[in-house]
Amino acid sequence: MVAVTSGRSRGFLAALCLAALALAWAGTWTRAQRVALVRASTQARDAELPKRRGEDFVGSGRCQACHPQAYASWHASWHRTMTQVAEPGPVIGRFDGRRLAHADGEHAVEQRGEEFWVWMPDANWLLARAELGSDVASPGEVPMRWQQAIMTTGAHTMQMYWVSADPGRRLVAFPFSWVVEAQTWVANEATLLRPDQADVVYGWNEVCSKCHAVAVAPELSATRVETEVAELGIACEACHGPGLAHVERQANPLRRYRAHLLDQGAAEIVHPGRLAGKRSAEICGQCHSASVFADSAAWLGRGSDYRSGAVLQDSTRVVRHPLRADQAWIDDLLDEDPDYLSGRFWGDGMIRVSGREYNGMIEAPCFADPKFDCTSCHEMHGDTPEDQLRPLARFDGDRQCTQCHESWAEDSTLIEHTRHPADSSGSRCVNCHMPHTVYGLTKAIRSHQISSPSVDETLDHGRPNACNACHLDRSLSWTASELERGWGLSSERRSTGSATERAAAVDALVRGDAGQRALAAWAFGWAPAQAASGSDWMAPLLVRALADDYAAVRWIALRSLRSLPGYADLDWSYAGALAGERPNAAALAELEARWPVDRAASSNPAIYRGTEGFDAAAWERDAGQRDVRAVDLQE
Amino acid sequence: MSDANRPGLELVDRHRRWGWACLGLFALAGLLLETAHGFKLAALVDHETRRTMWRLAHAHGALLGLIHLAVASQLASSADPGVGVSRALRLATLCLPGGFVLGGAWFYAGDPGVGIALVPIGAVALIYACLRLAWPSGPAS
Repeated sequence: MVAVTSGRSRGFLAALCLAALALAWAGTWTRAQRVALVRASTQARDAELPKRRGEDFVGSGRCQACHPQAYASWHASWHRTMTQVAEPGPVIGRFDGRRLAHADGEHAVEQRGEEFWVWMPDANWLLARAELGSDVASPGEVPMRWQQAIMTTGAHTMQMYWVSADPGRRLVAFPFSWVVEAQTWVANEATLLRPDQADVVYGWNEVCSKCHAVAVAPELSATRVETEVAELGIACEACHGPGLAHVERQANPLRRYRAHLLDQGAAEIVHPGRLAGKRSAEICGQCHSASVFADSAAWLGRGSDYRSGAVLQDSTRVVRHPLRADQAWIDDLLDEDPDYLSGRFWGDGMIRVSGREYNGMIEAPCFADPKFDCTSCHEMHGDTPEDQLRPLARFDGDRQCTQCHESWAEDSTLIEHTRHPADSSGSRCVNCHMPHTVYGLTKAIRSHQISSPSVDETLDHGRPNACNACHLDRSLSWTASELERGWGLSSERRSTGSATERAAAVDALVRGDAGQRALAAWAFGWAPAQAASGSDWMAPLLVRALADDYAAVRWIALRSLRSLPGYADLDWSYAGALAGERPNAAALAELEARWPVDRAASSNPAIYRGTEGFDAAAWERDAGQRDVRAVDLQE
Repeated sequence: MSDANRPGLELVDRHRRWGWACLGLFALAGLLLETAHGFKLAALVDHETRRTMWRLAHAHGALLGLIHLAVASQLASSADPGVGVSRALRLATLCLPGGFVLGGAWFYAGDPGVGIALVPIGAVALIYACLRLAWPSGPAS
């Protein structure tokens, strides 16, 4: 009996061991299968991403060991996240299975394990349609399929996603972007200031790659795309140049300590802070400028010859407006792209689109000072990624200006100059001399062409002047009078000067072109402007701007409207950034009904305030005179 | 072992004092490092090079304290390895953690400060002392 029991126990134990072993094997096998699948997925993805360009480049990983602080500040920057591999972590959009309305048919997003997939028209078909220009009769004819998003662009304001197309490593944009401020998907076209164009296709290799990766070699040919990059995103070697020689030479500790003790910069790497003249600004200008390559065929092959520290114009043509400079090749450029200037510059040659700050800066009087460059106000290795401003430009009043213009550092002289209280936004140098006249990323951005306000810039070129960009309820005539009275700046042209003259910013929002409307709509949400002008009259104007033909204008107007009391809870769908989302007249009327009409307020035609509230009839009349010419800003 | 070859009690006491002093000092250093980590003091946590150097100083100092105690114990019952060994060990005790401390106090990005030059001197002295303790009369013995 005992022996039988022992035998049973042994049998049970053996079975238990075998079961545990089988379980362990199954677990190992499953794990191995999963690892193999992930490896295969990664390999397939890498075969479609831009491949690594070796040559003289080493990548940021090699820089980290010796420059941990600089690496950390770069790693926290938006430069780094400009281009990333689409994987958990870098991907910030919600791939939660939602469906997105589009003229080509419903799109969708979903996550499968560590992969991100999008339902969209076949990327090759999209390219063919863009090339042939053929119209698609109905959404049913569009070849929709699931494609893997393998790369991302951006992470600060929005994130785009790229899928692969043939031949080789060609990348095509998913037609929707994830917008950070709204935490929602928006059609790519709605994030740009351009007329609705449903069939636009964005290619990474020939357009975005130039500035969104290090040392790109597009390697584009009719038969094959084999794009190479030193590194995705804007990394160390974009500004410091190729690092291989530096890494090899500085491996010797004696050489390193000699350089440390003698405070010598290493000769094999570019230190922008040690460059003479304007070379350091040109490093930023390689990307932050409207520029073209002299030999575009060469660019499409091995990319730009420019390397940090070199003379930019040896390889790159920074486009200046013909009113500002004679450039023999400008006619060829305009023959090729007649809208090049209008899509980027105001009529007087001032740059009007974001990401082109170098164009503004080189036209500024300050640029004549040999000490002045981008680093006068910005730093790349500071403690915050937001605008990468030096502390003196963030916390210290006007120090970014008074570090050179010392006479304005005293309150007494400042007040005498600005005619505003010393602590008011009207006394901040940048608000008058770097107003928000640049458009990009669905917002207004400060001009980097340091200038003085005038009514002529508004009358002649439609650009908001600094005074009316803050005093939103004031007319151009008022501005002309103030500029003459306070600063002795007389203008022969004073607008109408009539009692019914509209406020300049209001007029831009109602009758201006799309570019002017976008900047005006943004100014309505700018806190200093609201403080200077009051905001209790703005809602009817912004509600009406939600019916604008341009999605970007609607988006900006909605953002400004949300800044007003009673509108903070508005859903972002009111901007109508997805097909079929645009609010109807009843919805807009409901929004306007939220506006608390102040019956006691006196009428003011400048802001459409009548005796019974908003003067809708006058608005209708003026809106009928709106400048409806197509605006397509190339940010 | 003849009495002539027995090290003096003074030498044994010296290593015992150095050992306990080192252990106490670098235990205190460890406490300070932990405190700095706990309060996330920027002067420490923001600088990888400094963190590494001072962590190494703490570890080497404490370890050298133990070595001194071990040497004191060995000297109490074995032949005198020679006056040079004691000097080398004390030199190592000053140079190894001292070099790391100085290397972390002033540094150049990823490179420690020039004080780090003391470390190889201390390392050579420590290796010499270890070999002499292992083979008091040379490897042939």
